[in-house]
Amino acid sequence: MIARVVAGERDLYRVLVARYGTLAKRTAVLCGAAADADDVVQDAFVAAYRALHRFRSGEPFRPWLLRIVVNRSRNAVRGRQRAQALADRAAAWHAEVLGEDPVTGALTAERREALVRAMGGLRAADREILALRYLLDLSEAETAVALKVPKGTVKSRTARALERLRGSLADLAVGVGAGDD
Amino acid sequence: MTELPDDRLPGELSLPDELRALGRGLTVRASEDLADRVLAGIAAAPARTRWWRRWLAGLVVLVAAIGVTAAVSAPVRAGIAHALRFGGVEVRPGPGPSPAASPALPGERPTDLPGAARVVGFPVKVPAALGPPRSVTVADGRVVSLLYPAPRGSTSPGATASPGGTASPGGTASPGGAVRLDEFLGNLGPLWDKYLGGGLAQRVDVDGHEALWFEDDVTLVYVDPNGGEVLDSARDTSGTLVWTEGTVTYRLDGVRPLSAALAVARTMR
Repeated sequence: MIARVVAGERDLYRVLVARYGTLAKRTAVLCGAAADADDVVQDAFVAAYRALHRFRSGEPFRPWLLRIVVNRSRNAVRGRQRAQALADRAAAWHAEVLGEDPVTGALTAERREALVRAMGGLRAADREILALRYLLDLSEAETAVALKVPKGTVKSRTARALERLRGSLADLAVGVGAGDD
Repeated sequence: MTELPDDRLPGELSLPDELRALGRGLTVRASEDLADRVLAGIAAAPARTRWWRRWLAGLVVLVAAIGVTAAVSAPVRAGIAHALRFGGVEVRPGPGPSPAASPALPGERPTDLPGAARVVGFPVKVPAALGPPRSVTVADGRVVSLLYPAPRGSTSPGATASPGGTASPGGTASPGGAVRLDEFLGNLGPLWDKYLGGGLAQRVDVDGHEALWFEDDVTLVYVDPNGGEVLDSARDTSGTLVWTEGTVTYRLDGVRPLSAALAVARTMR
């Protein structure tokens, strides 16, 4: 299908946008694009279209697209950084992820909030890799392509990011306890 | 299980599984009009739908995306999907980048004609029809550019110049644009006539030398010797004539119509 899009059947690209639009937006939100997520996703799809001729057939499209989304999201984050303190950015991340009303029985509301808060407090690289690998449930190989790092690096960075997330969760638990007392 | 083996109770989720559950709870959705917005974004740059690329003995130098908005049928477009190689320029289908705010070739610097010739190692020619250039630049040790202001009084699209004459070209320059003549070493690859059927470019002749005329807008991107596209060089042009003489490729843009561009090209000295 991508070959046909490249050959000029532009309307076929709608199918790809429809198929991957939501995943792209979730990626953008989880990578910190916040209120810019819609613009980031739109730009990413336009950029992907323009780069389609470089896409090798047989290569998986999904991580290739997500790499563009991740890069655009980082740019959006950088664009806001001068005007926004770190704490505000973390708060924006919470608002985007928690601002919904999910139907999931697996986690209590408290646990969800703790996870989101701890994720929001991580540095961007840790948050990105955990978001792609677990929240979006990409494979290690897909995560590697999307973040443009070797597969082995995904493994080691994921392990380290999980450790730091555990640390943050523990700190939060202590903090909450101290606040309650 | 290597994840959180310690204080987790039986039946409790591992941290990765908790994160997966968190992800499954996401309700963020693509906006309903995303596809429309994307298609509109793509359509907003219709002039950049083709790539050119110049190879110099394996070293890539110039890329351009040219707009072929004429009625080119899908099979023909598929046919030109490979490449159109001419002189030191290769045309490929696919979108080009956005033009840079102040486009410049890598290390592009002003010089004079003898200085440029010393750097690139081939004789730099000047179109007598345009006279001495207003400025000369050399970039990356391989590209010489002669720059001219837009021709004055060039508002009559039908105007033609007398071939071989020394008068002003009499054509129109690109809107608000100056005239630019790039000269670079490179004469690679055959001219693939079969790709010219799609209205991509018009095959013309400059004093017996093969030439191509691109009527539509062109976006040029410099490609460095490692094959990397230098996005800071991306530049829109309009009305481009490419021709080769021996081992040198010339690219003239900003002179319209074709007859005027040819008249300029035939006065290279």
